[in-house]
Amino acid sequence: MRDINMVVGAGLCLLWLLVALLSVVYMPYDPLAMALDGRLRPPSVDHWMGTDQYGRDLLSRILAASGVSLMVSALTVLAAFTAGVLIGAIAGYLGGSFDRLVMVVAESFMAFPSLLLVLLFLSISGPSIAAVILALSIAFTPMVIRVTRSSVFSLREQQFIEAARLSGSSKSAVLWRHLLPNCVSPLSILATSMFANVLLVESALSFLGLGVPAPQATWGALLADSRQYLAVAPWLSLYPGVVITLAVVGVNLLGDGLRDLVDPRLRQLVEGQNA
Amino acid sequence: MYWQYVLRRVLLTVPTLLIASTLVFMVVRLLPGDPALLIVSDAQDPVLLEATRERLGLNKPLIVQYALWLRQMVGLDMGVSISTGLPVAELIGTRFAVTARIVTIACLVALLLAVPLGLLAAARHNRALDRGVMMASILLLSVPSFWVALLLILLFGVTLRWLPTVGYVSPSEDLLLALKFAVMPVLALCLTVIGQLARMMRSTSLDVLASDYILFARAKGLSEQAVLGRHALPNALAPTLTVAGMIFGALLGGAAVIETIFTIPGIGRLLVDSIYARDYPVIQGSVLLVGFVYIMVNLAVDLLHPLLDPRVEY
Amino acid sequence: MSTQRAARSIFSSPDEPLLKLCDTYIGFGTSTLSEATVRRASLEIRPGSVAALVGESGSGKTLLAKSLLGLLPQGARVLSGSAHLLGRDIFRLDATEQRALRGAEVGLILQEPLTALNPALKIGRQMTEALVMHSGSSNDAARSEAMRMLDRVGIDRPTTRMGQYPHEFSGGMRQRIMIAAMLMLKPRLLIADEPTTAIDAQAQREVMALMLGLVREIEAAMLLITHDLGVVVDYADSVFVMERGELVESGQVADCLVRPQHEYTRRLLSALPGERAVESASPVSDKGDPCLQLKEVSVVYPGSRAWPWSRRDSFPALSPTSLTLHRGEVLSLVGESGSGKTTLARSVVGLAPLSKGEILFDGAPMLHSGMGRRRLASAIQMVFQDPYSSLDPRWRVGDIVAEPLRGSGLSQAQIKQVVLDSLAACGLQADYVERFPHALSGGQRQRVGIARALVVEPELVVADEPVSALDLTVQAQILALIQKLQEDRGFSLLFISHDLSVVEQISDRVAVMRNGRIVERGRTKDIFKHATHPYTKALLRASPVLGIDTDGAYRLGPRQPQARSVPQGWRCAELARDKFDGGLKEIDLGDGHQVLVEEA
Repeated sequence: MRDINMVVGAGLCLLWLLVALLSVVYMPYDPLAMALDGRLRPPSVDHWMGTDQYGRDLLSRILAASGVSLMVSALTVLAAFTAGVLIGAIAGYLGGSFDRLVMVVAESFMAFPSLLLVLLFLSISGPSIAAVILALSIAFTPMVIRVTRSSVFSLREQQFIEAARLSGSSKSAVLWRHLLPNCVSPLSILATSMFANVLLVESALSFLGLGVPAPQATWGALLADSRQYLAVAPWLSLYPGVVITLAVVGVNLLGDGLRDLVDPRLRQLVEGQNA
Repeated sequence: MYWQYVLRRVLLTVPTLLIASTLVFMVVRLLPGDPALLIVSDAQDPVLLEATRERLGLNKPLIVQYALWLRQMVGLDMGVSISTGLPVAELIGTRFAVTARIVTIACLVALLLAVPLGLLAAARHNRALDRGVMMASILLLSVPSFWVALLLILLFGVTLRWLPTVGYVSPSEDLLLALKFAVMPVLALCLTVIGQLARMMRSTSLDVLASDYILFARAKGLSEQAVLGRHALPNALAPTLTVAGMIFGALLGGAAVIETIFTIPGIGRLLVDSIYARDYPVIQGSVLLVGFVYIMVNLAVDLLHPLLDPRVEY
Repeated sequence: MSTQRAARSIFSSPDEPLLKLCDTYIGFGTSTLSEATVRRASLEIRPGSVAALVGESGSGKTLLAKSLLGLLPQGARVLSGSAHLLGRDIFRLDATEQRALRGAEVGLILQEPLTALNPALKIGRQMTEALVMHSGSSNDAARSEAMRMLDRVGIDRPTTRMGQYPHEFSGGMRQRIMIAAMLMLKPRLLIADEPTTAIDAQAQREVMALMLGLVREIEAAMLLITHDLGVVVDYADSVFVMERGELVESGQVADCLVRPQHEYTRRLLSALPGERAVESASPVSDKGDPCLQLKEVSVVYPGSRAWPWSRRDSFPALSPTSLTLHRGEVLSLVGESGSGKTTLARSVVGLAPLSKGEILFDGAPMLHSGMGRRRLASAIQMVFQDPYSSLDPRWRVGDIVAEPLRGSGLSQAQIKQVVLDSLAACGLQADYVERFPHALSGGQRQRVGIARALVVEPELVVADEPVSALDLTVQAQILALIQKLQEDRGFSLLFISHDLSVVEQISDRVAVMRNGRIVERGRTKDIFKHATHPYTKALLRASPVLGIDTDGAYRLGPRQPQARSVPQGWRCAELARDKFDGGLKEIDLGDGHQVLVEEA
């Protein structure tokens, strides 16, 4: 069961990555080429996923959008983790008033639903890819801070940390050599679930027309465009939705597989049975 | 003492509320352009502009502006909507009630389904039911809710024609019609939540079922029903309720997409519309309200916690 | 003991066993008979008797016990065999019949009283629910029976207590409630899984006596699962020894533990402290200069505060204590959790901040900051209790052992050589360098921990319960290793333990701690032969001593310390945590044997 999760999850993620890379060099049609005589065609041999209201090939549009969605989610997670791990680790290790300050601020940020926070920031900056990534990063960083901080906090009491202190290691050495490497497991699990969440929020933003601006297609924007033609061209809604779902399922399954791999409690449940 | 815990927990929310409100204040101050310019229709009149600045307190130091602003917000004096001319407090009040009603129903439905599903899945760990619930919940929490909404419209509205596709009717007008209009939005919202809560309930139930007191309860010869219902459920419920509270708060602001699809006059759609219209007083008021409610919901869940779980120290 | 045996035989019907377990194999998943976790287990328990099942962790004894309740963990199943109880085969019953059997015919007592009761249910409900279900008695009848049982196990005000939640009771009281809740169902066979392991030495006997008394009242038999041979000798009639899934020895306690047939049983026995040890313990001469001096050291941990403006509660972990450790000496601190022994040890290495007092190392005050810490790191090292959390799971053994050498100025090659030497001294070959901690057993991990502590050739080693997390036979090996290394290298050793028997062989002097104070101290011989404080005596009772008669027979028995007399007008201090500790003083009974007294 666990292995299947991992394999299916990793497979879907890999497929996504390959498709995104492939779309740079090859697409069946130009995703922006309109063909007014071939509008709203259902899926066929020529157009596997049909065409949209301007006669553009839907498969090509989905392929073109795959890279943008991947990039926005990846860069957001990267930025949120860079900032969050640094702040969270220092707060958790130093403790005291710096820790309290960081936590109060982080919790205040988390008092707003992430979509709301992103909307708020985008209302200042106006839509652009950079603004979307920045807004998403700011909204998701407090979560990274909190998880890093609590992992470091619980590790701090472990005896191997005390042993390192008694061996004469400095605080920064303990932080870099012992604490952070041991946070990798919980953080990698958080990274996958956050990646899935960012993808969903980004799609929602595009759906609302507040995300990555046109003409750059994103999966969410494809769905938004399809709404008016729901009754006449349901495939326009069907395929982008399936693609988003598959991507999110893939990332979530990968995260589940990772958690089973590293969660000592789950492992104990399996291995400890011969006790 | 419980009341002491309540007081302490309430006091702890004060810094969070203050910082959250500061955040909103700062963001509004960071907005491009002069707020006075947005309000004054005739931007060429310097006297009027200066008077507006004076009235808005924009020429005072930032900290004083913040204090004045905070007093206005507490007094529900949130200004007037630029695009509609209505008082903001009134506007967001009615809109919020609409969202709250739908989100509350969605969360309750989700809880009612997810809690028994998660508990049963844990009790049948690694068997068919467990695997089924896990697969279904992964799928549910991965499906974008706005796509679910589109599929629902396609199925029930377009193909089967059972339900009205888009629109909103207040329950005070026509309860039955209101319910018909509410079915699809509620369903679209709660499917994701079911996925999240069922997973949470399952994992806490797994921990609980592995504990000594469950073994001891079984060793006393209790029926599986009593072991699950009486012994496991109360212990596994508290963490799930905490998460449900957070999801509830998040949906109050995050229902914007669903409200847009179904053209429901809720707070989320109001927010999106005012972002399009750059209607800053409304943006500020609605963000502040959603943040405040979110903090209050979490506070309520925390206050409920010791009542559910007598171990909690307070 | 002999009176207990005589009383038991009244209920024994000589021929028919209550439980007859035949050729039972228990395994996981699709394991075959030869791969099974429990193999060919056969045992009989007579009505009214107490049978002990002895074995180390992982030997399969808990699995075997759970199979008798039909409560095997998920994935485990009985592969073959039968277990006849009162004429029915437990393994052949369906789920409903097994459920009806649990509680009513086979009962269970768990090790950990803190987790065995449901924290979210009132104890009244937890006691009555099963009785109502089994006997169909009314709620009122069940309530009055529950209150009678609470009274019987010594819980006062039963009416009030029934309405309380488990967290409102102490650990000892919860243990009693668990016993009452199970025995009010009147099972024919009570399985007790390490029932006294989690409670402190003084309460162990009371709980065992209470449980046995109740078992006898309802004329039940008991299967006692334990790793403690002392408990077996004191309470069991028959004994079954289990090693890696097989019953290697079985029979009457009087035979098995006196003339063990199997090599494993002999190993278990010889891991116990022997009488020889007392004789051979080196007489304390005045060793070198003081290595470590504690002067009126106290540690108070700040508690939480109710309000930001109110004062913190404070928790005195260590009352003002003075102590001297000489160069090359082995001093043991003994006491149960909360006695302050670990706090004292941690204050020495700088992990617990002193509230008052002073610690001198080599005659100079200790500095735990800046350059002082670096110097101390090469002079003082610690061996930790938990071999699982004391090694960084992401580091290789070689790096772990080398960590104290960082910044020592040695070259890579030199460091490698020193690490290999240190590992070799601890009995680990060179190929362990590349391994990760999770690939090692508990004993091997502890060897790595010792190698790490000794790699810098420290003058003082603080060992905080270094063997308490290990199995009995491994304990003996690690203890022997520590003793050998100490004799070879001559470092001073501060050894912390909750178990008196562990320290006997290794220590020059022993200090017994309770509630943050040293209640008795002296040379090892004085403590073991002339224990005077009641608390020391209780600790001694919990650790039986093994003798070997001239004909080779083993003899396990309680120690018989002869207390020294306390001068007139004084008596040994009873320490209560909350009590004002004024008027206490330590008086010398001769040769440095000191006991804490208060005015009578």
